[in-house]
Amino acid sequence: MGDIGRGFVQAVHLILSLDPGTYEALGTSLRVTMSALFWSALAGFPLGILLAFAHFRGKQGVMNVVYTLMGFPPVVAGLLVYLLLSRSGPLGPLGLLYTPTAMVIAQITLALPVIVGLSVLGLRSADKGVFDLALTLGATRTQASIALLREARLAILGAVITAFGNAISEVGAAMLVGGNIQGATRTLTTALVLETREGSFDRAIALGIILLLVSFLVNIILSRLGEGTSEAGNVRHLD
Amino acid sequence: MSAISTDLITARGVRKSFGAREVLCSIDLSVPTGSITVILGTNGAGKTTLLRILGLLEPADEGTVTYDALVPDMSTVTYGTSTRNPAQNQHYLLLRRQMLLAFQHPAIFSGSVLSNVTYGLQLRGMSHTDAEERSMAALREAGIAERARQHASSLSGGEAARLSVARALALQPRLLFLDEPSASLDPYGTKLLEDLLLHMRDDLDMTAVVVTQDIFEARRIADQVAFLHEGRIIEQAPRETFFTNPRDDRTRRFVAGELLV
Repeated sequence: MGDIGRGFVQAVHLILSLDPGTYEALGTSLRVTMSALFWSALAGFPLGILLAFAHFRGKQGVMNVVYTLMGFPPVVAGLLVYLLLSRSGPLGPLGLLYTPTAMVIAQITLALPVIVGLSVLGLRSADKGVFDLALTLGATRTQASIALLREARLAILGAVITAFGNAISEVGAAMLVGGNIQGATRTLTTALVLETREGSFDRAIALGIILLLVSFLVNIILSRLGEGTSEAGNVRHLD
Repeated sequence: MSAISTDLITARGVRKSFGAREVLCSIDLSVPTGSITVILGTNGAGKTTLLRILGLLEPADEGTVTYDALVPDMSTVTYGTSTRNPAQNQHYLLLRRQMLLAFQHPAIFSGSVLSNVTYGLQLRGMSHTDAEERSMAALREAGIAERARQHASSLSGGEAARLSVARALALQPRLLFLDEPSASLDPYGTKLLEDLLLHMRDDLDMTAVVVTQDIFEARRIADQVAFLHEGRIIEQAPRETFFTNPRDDRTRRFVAGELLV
C-alpha cells in the first residue's frame, strides 16, 4: 500500500513539476497511438462497411480471421513487425526499426482488426433498412454509407475507444519494435516497465496513474466528438 | 382512371435466385403509365423481391426492365452475368431519383420526423428552408404534422407508415412502389393512404406499383391487378376482368379464397 500511496504523490509531483522525461514519454505515447488510430480508422471503416454488407465468397473466413486478430497478442504482433523491419527482414532497408514509425505500424496491426471487427458488428446491428432507405430516397452509395455510419455512430465510437485503449496500453510490441529509447521511442508503458525493473515502484505507479488519466481524458474527448457528429447530422433540425 | 397510352414499366424475363432457391422464375409484367398496379400473391411468393428489383434496389439475375420516358437515354436496365447493381451505380442515379420505394416496415433515420422527410429533398439540392416548408406540407397531408419536431424513433408503427407516405408526398416521384402499405395501419390510416394514393395518381400523374396479399385492398385501389404465384406472373388484367372473369383457374381460386396447392 505504501508504494501505491507514494505513487499517487509522485504522480502529482511529476505532472505538476512538468517532469521532462514523463512528458516526453506521454507525447510519444499519444503521437504513436493517435497516428495508428488515424490510419486504422481510415482503412478500417470502409473495410467494415464492405464486410458488413457485401456478399462474396470466403467472407465468413475473412471475418473469422478479423475476429481472431482482434485478440492478437501484442507481443506477437510486435515480433512479426520486428522481423519485417529488422536489418535482415524484407523491409529492413527502410531503416524503420526502433523508430516511432515502427511502433505506429505495430499498433496498426492491433487497432485495425478491432476497428474492422467492431464496426462490422455495429453496422450489422444498426438498422440495415437505413442503407436501402437512403438509396431509394435518392442517395448515392457513398451518401447511403454515410447515413448508415451515422446510425451506427455509437458502435463506431465504441470501436475507436476500444482500439485506442488497446493501442495506448500495450507494451510488448512497443518495447520490441521501439526499443524504449529515451527521448525517441520511450512511451508511458515502456517507461513504466523500466521503472519497475529498476525498483522505482512509486514512479512506475505514477506513470500508470498518468496513463489512466490520459485514457480517461481522451475517451471524454472521443465521446464528445461522437455526440457532435449526431448533432451535425439529422438532429440539428430539432429545436 | 386517366387514359392509358403507354407502359411506364415493361419487365421481360426477370429472374432471381437466392442461392439454390429460385424466387422469381421468369417475370413478364407491364405497368401502364398513370395507373395503380396491384401485385397480389401469397406469402413468400416473391412479391417484395420483385418490387425491390423494379424499384432498382436489388439487381435481378437475368432479364430486362424498361422504364419509359422517365429519364432520356437510359431507359432499359439489362440484367445478366456482368450487370452492376443499379442501386449502387452512379449511372442510374437520375433514374432512381424518379422513383421511391416505401418499405413494409418503414425504416427511419435517427433524428427528427421532419429531417426524415427533408433528407431526400436535400439530396436533390433543395435548400434547407424550401425542403422544410415542403416537408411540413407533406406531413400535414399525411396527418402527422404535430410530430414533426419529435424524434422519429418515438413514432408508433402506424405513424412510421404515415411518415413513409409523407416522404412520397414531398418527393413526388413519378413512380411509387409500396410494399404492403396498410399492414401496420388502422382502418382510418388505410383509408387516408388509399385516398392519397388515388390523389397522387389523378393530380400528380404518378404511377404506382403496390404489393399486397389483401384482395380487398386490391379491389379498392387497383386499375390493374397482377397475380404472382410460384415465381411467375400467371395473370395480369384490368381490375374488373381480374376479379370477375379471370383467365387462369389458380387466379379464380385465389380470388375466391380457396387454398392454392
